[in-house]
Amino acid sequence: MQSDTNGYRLHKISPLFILFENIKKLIFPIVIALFSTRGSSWELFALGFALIISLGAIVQYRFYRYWLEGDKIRVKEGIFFRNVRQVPYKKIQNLNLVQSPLHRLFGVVKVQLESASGGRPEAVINVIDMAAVKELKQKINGEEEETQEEEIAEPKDSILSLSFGEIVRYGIITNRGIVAVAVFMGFTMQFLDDQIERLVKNYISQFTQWIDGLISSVQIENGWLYFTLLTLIGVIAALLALWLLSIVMALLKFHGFVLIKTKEKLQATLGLLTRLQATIPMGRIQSLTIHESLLHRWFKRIGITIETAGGVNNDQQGVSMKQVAPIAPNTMRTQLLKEIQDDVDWDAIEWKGLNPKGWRRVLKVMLIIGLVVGLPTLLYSIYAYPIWLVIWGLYSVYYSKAYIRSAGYTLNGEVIGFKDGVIFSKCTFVRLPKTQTIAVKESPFDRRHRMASLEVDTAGAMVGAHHINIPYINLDEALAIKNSISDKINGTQFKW
Amino acid sequence: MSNEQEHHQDPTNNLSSTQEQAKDASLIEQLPDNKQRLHPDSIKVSRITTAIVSLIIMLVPSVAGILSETYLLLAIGAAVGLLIFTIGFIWARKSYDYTWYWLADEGLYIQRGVWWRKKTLVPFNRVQHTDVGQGPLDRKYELGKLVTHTAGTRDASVSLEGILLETAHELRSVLQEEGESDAV
Repeated sequence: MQSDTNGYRLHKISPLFILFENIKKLIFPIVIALFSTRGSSWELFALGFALIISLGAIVQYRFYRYWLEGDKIRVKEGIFFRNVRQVPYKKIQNLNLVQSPLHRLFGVVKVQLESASGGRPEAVINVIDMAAVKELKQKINGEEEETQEEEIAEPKDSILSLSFGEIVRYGIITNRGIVAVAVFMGFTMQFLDDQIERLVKNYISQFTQWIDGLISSVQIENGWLYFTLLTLIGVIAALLALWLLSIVMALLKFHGFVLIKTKEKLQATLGLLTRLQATIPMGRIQSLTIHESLLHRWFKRIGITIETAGGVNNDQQGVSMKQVAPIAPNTMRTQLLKEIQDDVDWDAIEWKGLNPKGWRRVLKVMLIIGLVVGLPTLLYSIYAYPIWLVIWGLYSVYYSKAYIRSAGYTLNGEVIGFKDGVIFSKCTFVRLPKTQTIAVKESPFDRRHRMASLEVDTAGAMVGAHHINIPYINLDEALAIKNSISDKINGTQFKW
Repeated sequence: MSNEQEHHQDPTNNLSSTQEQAKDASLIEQLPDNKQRLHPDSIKVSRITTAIVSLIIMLVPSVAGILSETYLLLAIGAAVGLLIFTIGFIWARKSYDYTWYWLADEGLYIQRGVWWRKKTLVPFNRVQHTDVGQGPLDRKYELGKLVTHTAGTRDASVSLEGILLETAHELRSVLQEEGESDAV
């Protein structure tokens, strides 16, 4: 199976997995083709299609080969369009392993190699057996650390391992179920026709009737109270269902989560059905964010995510391992930070506040939002608008004071940090050598108060994610921060 | 950091910059002495571009108005086109007045924005690669643009449009040299 001239082949079973991947890619066209050619001889088409892609899988397998050379891996693939790719071991950011139940049955694994280039993984090896993986890992990690690497992650020497209870808490806190429901709704909306609509309405009316039965057995006949009760029960039921869904999703994804540290790398193993093993070189971490939402605080927990320069940013393109600590007790905060980034002195972090006058500016923005958002209440009643404004105004005062009080930044010789947020508090740290461009921004409103904001750009950051963007600080302060960062990185080459 | 000073110095430069600084200060008052403006021809280029854009915008309602003989539509189309052109005409000058760039020990600075101002620093040793480009209108005035790419995400490419093509090449070579000399 392996010789140096012919290179390494994939595992013999891999046509099966390539086939699955191909089917996954083609499932939507096939489904659409089936729906649109209803009534005609679509079975023939489907059969032909299946035949072609399964033959394709076998051919793809035959033509895939990789070589482990002195300092790089060479991958050759393609039938008509040959593609040879060389990735130096040094440039490989992450090495991820995926193992579904089917993979486990055959004792094989899918390997994903990521470099700093954006978008898709640099190379996907689908699939090889564990012995080949071991060899690959040894090459990439350097020959010396041969023995201890291969042991399966034991919870005892881990930095963090999640118990069942913790994962349930994670499900409740993050409530990812909402996203799943939204995606599902969005998807079904596209295919929504009268039949489905009628079906859904039918279910809803059945549900209300069922609750109706429940309530009328307790004998409340007051119309208004009855209606409120009905909505209340509906909302609670929906929330519970969402939470249940979220917990199930969390369990599927994070069951048996173990994070271990070997030399310069973090290695996370997770997943209930599909096991996943992701390796993250610690030096390549571009930024680190601590999540501490209201629910996190109630449970006295935090979550830690990281951004690496590895390009895979969403799950469609490949495995992405951002959640280095999905959930952890707040008491472990410093300990975890020390483990994940040991070159930063985490005890020396001192927070500086924003400009205290900034809260008035936050308040103004909030009030303008309230004026606009509240307008539709005028349709309901003339009195509703002032009432809304009073409630919103009170909340805005609370919010803007709380925002300025809780937000802050920290800067020392090694790291810059920024925290903000009232309900979803987040706190991001960037080690200074990882900064790219630095911008001082000044809006017309800033100018009136001689304030400014400071933004730091890093590699691998997701658009819209929390990052170093410090608002409402004095202009001189912003320029001073900019100067001290640029002094620090002047003369240091950026090492991914 | 002095070899880039010799190129094009616009006579109107000093005049307008002192005026602007006196008027409203803050971020702009902090500019160093070796700051450079864009080439004044860039105003022309941007005005010609707005003229073309507003003509295209006028075209659709005009044709529709003439064909259907609703002259109100024609008037509205013309008015909108003219408005866009006027705003663009004034704005071209304004944004020129508020844009500077300069080189410092730590990297390339770009200061821009009339109302929302932004001073961006691209450190020399964070430059991954640079592009020099030239559009059809730029060619007429020998202008060009310099795009600096970093490994970042939000500001992954910082572009400087409306400088002489020659200046763009010069800046590029400075960026390259400085970036390499830093590689310790």
